[in-house]
Amino acid sequence: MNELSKYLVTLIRVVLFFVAFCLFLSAVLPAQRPVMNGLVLGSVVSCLNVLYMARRIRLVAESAATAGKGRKRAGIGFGVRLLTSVAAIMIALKFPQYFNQVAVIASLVFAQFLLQILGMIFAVKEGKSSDEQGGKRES
Amino acid sequence: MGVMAYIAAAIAVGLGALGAGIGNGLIVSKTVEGIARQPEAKSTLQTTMFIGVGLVEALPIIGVVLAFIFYGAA
Repeated sequence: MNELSKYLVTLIRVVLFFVAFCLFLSAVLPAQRPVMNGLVLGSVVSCLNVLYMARRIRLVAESAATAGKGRKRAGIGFGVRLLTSVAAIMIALKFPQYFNQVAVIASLVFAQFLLQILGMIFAVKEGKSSDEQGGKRES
Repeated sequence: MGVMAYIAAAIAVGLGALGAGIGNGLIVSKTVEGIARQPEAKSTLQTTMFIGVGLVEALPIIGVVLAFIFYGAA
């Protein structure tokens, strides 16, 4: 499996667990339902943003590796991701009875921060495995 | 509050986007340079770029959200 795919699979799994947990809390605590709905909306939009970013980065890397023989890529789609986030905020502003705005805002960068944490975890794991391999070679 | 809120929203969006643009540009240029020099390191480089771009882009998203809040308060 590609290294980027490994990150994406773990990220999607964690986000889906988070969404399931929020839906469970939404069912158990009806008074907090707008907050949980807001968390679900924000985290789903953030996950979609990260998936789109991964796709664009793959295309840019492919374009760089083929040395301009393929289709030329100019950007990594930052505007689209920003506007998706704005759309989520607009939905929360339009329907305040269903979505808590603060919850949407707080969870809009959920997947991005999760990505940093995953990066640290994978880096520590790789460091450990390379240390073990080095120890075996020495012995 | 009116005019000052609009100015605050403009500064939050503008400076956030400026910083993110510069940061993204640096990340992408260095990664593309690295991949062009060493195509066999593409997988590692694109993963590093993925994490870096994710870190850089969190800030302008927060800036846009804050700008919307200021705009609503105006």
